[in-house]
Amino acid sequence: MDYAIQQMVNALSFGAEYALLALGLAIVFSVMGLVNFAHGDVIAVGGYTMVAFAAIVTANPWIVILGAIVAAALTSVLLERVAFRPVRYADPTTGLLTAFGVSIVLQNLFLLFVSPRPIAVTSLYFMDVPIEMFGVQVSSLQLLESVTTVLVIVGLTLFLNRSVWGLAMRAASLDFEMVRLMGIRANRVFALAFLISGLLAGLACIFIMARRGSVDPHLGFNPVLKAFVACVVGGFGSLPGAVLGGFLLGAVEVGMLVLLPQEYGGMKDAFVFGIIALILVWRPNGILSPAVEKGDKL
Amino acid sequence: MRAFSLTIAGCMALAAPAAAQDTIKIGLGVPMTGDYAPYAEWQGARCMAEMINAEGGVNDQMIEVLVQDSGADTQTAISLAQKFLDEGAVMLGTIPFSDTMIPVAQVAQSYGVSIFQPQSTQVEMHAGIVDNFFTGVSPDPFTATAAANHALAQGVKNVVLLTSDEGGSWSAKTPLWFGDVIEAGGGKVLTKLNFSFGTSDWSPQIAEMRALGEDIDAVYISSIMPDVGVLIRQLRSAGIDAWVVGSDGFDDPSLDAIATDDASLLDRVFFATLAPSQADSAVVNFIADCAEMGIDVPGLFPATGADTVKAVAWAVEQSGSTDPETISATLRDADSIPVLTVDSISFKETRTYAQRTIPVIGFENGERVLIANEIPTNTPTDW
Repeated sequence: MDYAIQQMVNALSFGAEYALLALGLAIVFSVMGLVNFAHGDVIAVGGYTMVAFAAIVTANPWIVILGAIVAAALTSVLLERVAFRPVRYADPTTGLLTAFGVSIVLQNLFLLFVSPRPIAVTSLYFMDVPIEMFGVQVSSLQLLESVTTVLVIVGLTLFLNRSVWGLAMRAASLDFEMVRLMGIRANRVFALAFLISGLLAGLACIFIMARRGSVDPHLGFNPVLKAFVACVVGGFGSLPGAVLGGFLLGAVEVGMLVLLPQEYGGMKDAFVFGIIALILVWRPNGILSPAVEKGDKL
Repeated sequence: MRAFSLTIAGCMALAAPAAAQDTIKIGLGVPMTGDYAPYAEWQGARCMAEMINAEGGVNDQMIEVLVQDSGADTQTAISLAQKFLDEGAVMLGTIPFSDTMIPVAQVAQSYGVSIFQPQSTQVEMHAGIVDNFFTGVSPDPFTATAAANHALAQGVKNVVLLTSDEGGSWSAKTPLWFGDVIEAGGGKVLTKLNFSFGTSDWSPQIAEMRALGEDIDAVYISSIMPDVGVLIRQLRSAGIDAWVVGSDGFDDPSLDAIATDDASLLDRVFFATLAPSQADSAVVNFIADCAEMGIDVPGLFPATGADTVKAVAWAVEQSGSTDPETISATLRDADSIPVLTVDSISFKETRTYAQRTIPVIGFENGERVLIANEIPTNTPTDW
């Protein structure tokens, strides 16, 4: 029984990380219709900022954390201004290619000007200590990440429902031209979406770095692929869908890892994506895909 | 017509230096970027070529290392191999995975040129598919055996094996060979667990280990950094104090770095690798010499390129020829070839891989120490 609970806690923890990453993708997609695959590289920028801060400025973990979040947020806003704004009204595939292009350029910059090898950052090891709760051993990092994800969900919900800019972002996801006609400046809405996405990347970066203890040029690529899958399963454009998709993916991954016989271990991803395919057969647009209302611009 | 003739004459004049073979060319179409970049050998090859050239070259000829980025793309690697062959390369290096090495070797075969990989341990290359191939190191069963022998010497009985199909036989079979030697030595494989590359949370596997309810003496994994570093830290956090044992994937400076604040993290870690890489080893000294020359050689894998250049230079010197087939035959038949990472290697008995000692590296107070270095004689034969 303890073992089952232990693995459920692990699944929740996996899901919390995927949900946090998926929210970063979903917030940009909901406003701009862009799948920002460079989100993972924004996370890597946060990681390299940690390296720079720890080596040059201070090893104080709180300053290192703050530096990473600020760097990720600024990078995200900068990318919107430099790379994504010029293709804002282009075909969605152009935006997708731009995102891949930005991702490849950033990864190769890290490779060529920093190092292709992992660089260790030990400043955040203190976040990962074992805690015994009700007979189950959990890591403080798992708890912190899950709590942070919940707080982010609550915070985003309040922001999107109670603030003018939040309402503007929600309206923009339905009919951007109408929002502009109401006097809201388009550039600010887009920049805000990227700023929030960057902040979420910074938060995810902290937990990824605390767990991995090192950064390499591909730090964020695989996690963002997982986040993309979570968004698709949950319903692209739906923030609750992104969260649900993240937790679902975490549960399926841990389940397959634990339940598959060892000789079928190489088939884990095949089974995971098989289950996801079945979900998409049931709900082709994702479980919580936003309902299309009359008057929505498609 | 006159203009056409001048153009042809000009082209011939431009082509003349390559045809004259004024340098000994080694073509490396290797991953300078992408996922495989940490395992490429080009920095060490360039540095060793500069060292040899500074001493006057080989038989009055300079060594020229042609380097171009293949990324992780096999087709690009094949195109680069073709380009280097047309430029007169006498030896090639490529992406160190069999799905690239085999087609590149097949392209090179018609030119009489061989592939020399200074770091490839995959067993697939020794199945007789191509014969114009050398690897400067011993295959994975040897490293698994060297690690298992040391584990048995430490009193290890109960082991857990972590396997993955994602790295081919290197990550899927190497743990099993380790387990075979452990069982042959009286130990027991408690369980085999799956993992994926890029794992940053080992909690599910660790929960399975704890659920075994038995004392685990060692956990074996053939994987890469930073995944291995995370595994070590999470095992210790979970109260599992077993030895963490591995292969050459452990051999990265970022593993040493995890013990920056707590040296005891690496007290019960060791790995069998390609070459001795502790302080004052030939590899570490070479890296320092290259740094003085202004060439950054970031770790053991990049340093192994020095073996390629040294072996080719030795073969040219011995045979007095720059004919690629003669160079390959000289290497193949030699009793002893001097290289950088170990004193010498030989292909005479083994044909495609180097018979050499396998170093086992451990840690004391967070510093690397060489704890064994021999050719294992009890290697499994099922490969």
